[in-house]
Order: sequence, then structure tokens, then C-alpha cells
Amino acid sequence: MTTKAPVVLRPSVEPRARKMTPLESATLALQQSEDFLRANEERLRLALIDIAESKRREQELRESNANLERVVRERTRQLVLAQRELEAFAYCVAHDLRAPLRGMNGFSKILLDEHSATLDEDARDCLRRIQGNAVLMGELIEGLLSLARVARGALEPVAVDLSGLARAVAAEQAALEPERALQVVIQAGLCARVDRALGRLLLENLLGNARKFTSKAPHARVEMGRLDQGGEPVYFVRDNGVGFNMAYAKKLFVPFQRLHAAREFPGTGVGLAACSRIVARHGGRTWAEGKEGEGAVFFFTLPECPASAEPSVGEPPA
Amino acid sequence: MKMILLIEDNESDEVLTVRALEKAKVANEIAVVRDGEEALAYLFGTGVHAGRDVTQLPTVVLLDLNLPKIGGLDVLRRIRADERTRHLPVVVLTSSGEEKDIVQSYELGANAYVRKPVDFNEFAQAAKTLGLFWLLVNEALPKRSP
Repeated sequence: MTTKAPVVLRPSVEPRARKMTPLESATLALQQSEDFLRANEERLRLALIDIAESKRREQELRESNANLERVVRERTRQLVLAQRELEAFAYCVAHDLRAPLRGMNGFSKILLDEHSATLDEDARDCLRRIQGNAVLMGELIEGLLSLARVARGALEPVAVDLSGLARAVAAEQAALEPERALQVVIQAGLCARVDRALGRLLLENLLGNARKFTSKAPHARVEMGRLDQGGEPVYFVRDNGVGFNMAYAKKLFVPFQRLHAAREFPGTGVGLAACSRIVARHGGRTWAEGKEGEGAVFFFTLPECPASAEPSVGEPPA
Repeated sequence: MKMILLIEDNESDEVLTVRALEKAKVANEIAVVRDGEEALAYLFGTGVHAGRDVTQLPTVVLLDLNLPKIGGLDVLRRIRADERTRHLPVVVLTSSGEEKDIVQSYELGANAYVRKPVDFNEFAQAAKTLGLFWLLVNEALPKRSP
């Protein structure tokens, strides 16, 4: 049989459509990866840099957080220490300063009661003044202590119905002075996030002051409400009493500073200082406007109640 | 025999309290001790008061909290811990209005807590009220036969 020269077929370029061996598959995959990497070298390089940068920033953040926590721990420790010292100081004041006052007051009284026969009017007058001063000092001590109490103690702010609380306080104050005619108008629906006890003290002081300084007004009137100033609720207590000179407005909230003579309007000058501290502890501001002979308004801001809150009147149920 | 035991270290307060009680004319006798240690010695007939007849207990004890040697609260604790004095009426009469003192006093079994006011009129009135109540109105625990 004659053999012809075989026809040399051009070898096909595509791989034959037969199943590849594992080795061939692996080699192909590797080749494809290499091609991919080469094509995307730049993009990969940038991605790696980003990851490194991210990790670096994460580390920085962790370190600065750890630092902050250390600082907070230290400051808290100092604060607790300061509060304890304040408590010890207040306790000492309560006990140790009151006893000698009692002695002064008591023995003056004994002289007045039991030895008046041997004392002339001038002597008796001096003794009465000693007595009065001792009592006054006792009141100043009470004032200091109550101011200290405002500063210490944990704050527990809750949604409080200020209208209800103000009405309750006004009613209590009215019951102590049944002979006085004072018109009290309280806007309904006032609500703020405030510590129950301190909120009550705040209103007791503001409403009590309004009551006190309108004692000489013919148609005494106290009003409490809320304005919206620049999107922020501002509460106010307004009276038409004796007012004050705006030139001295800065002194109003300073402890023991008074703008009126004690013989006209009794008091130690601690109430407004306490108010200012209470409001400040809640992150708010206090300020006042007044006109001598016409009246005064005291403004303060407090954190708002969340829209969904059910405000309590701030008193435990009877 | 109505007897008041006053446990008070402050001299002025002692004089004023005794005077106020005498004015109120409620007690036959007012015994005064000036620190916690002497208070316990008196009640239990030991130390400087050895030999005192301890069945003769005061009708009421007026106890100040700030005492030298053994403090008022510790005296109260010891009074309540001893069978002989467990039911002895103790009125804490003190300057302190601090909540923790009031709470502790009641926790340790005080019968009453009275703050000493600065104003002497009020003080005298308080002493008189206390005396009247504890010596005349209150029914003391009947003496048990030994």
C-alpha cells in the first residue's frame, strides 16, 4: 500500500475541549492570577496603603480612648474626694458652729428673763441684739448648709410636670399665710427634665421670693410660664413687687448678697444662689430683669422633656 | 422616782438644758454625765460609778451624739445590746440635722430624735415638751421582779 505523506494539520490554537488534568487546571489558574495581579498592581498597592492607614488610625483611636479613660478615672476620683470633704465640712459646720450660738442666745435670754430687775433698758437692748445676732447667724448657717446640699448628691433628672409642681408649692406657701391675697397664675403644660428634689427647691425659692417681695404691692401677682427664645424654651417667674435696680443685677445670684434691707424683707440671700446652682447643675442658665417699684422677672433654662415622656408632678403618690 | 439622765459634754448646753428642764418642773432628779464612757459606767454601775444601784434606771435618757471617748451612737448601741437597758427610752438630743445621723439613730433603736434649736425659747419649749411626754404621759416598761 502506498503511504502518502501525512497531511500536517495546523495545530488548533484553542485547547482541545477535553477535560484538563488537575495539574493543567492549577497552572492555568496561577497564570490567570498572575495576569490579574499585573494588570491591577497599582490599584492593589493603593488598597494596601489604605488598609495600613486604617489600622494605624484605629490604633491611635484606641490609645487616645485609653488615655481619656485614665483622665476620666482620675478626675472622678478627685471629684469624689472633693465631695466627701465638702460633706465633712458641712457636718462640722452644722454641729460645731451651732452650739456656741445656742449658748449666746440662751444666756442672753436668761439674763433678760431672770435678771431684768438689775438691768436698765440699754442693757436689755444690748442683750436682745446679742440674741438676735445669734439667731441670724443660725439662719446663715442653715443657708450655707442648704447651698452645700445643692452642690453635692447625685442628680436624677426625670420628666417633671413643672406646672403641677408649681401649683403645689404655691398652695403650700399660701396655706402658711392665709391672710395674704396673692394672685398666682401658672401656665399649664410646662414640663422639664430635672431632679425632683432640686426642681422643687428651685420653684420654692423663686415662688417664695415672688411672694415675699410683693408683700407691699396692692394687687400682688405672680406669674410662671414659658417663652420660646430662639428655639429654646425659657421659663420665667414674674412678679409685680418691689423689683430691683438693674445696675446690681450681677449681685442677685451671689450667696449672701442682698439688694434689700433685712428689716424690710427678711432673708439671708441664699435662695437665688441656690437656684442658680440648681439650674447650672442641669446645664441651664439663670438671669433676671427688674425695675424698682414695678417688679422683677427671673428666667431660667432647663433640659426639655422628650416628646414621648409622661411627666410626673415630681411628688411621690400620697 | 422620775429621773432624767442627761449625756452631754458641752457645758453651755448642759446648763441650758438643765435649766429648761427645771423650769418645766417635770423631774425629781436630773443626772448629768459628760462623756460616753461615764454614761455607760453610770448605767451599768462600773468604773467611777461602781456600786451604784443599777436597778434604779433613769425614766428617760437624753443623749447628745458628739461625745468624747465613746460617741453617742456607740453608747446607744451598748444600751440596746444589754438586757438590763434594752428598753430604756433614749431621746437623741443633738445639734445635728444630718440625715445620716437621724437614720443611724433610729437604726440603732433610738425612741426619738430632737434637734437642739439655736433659739433658746424654742429650746426650752422642746425640753419641756420632751420632759412632759416621757415623764408624765408615756407609760414606762413595768419593773420586772428580779
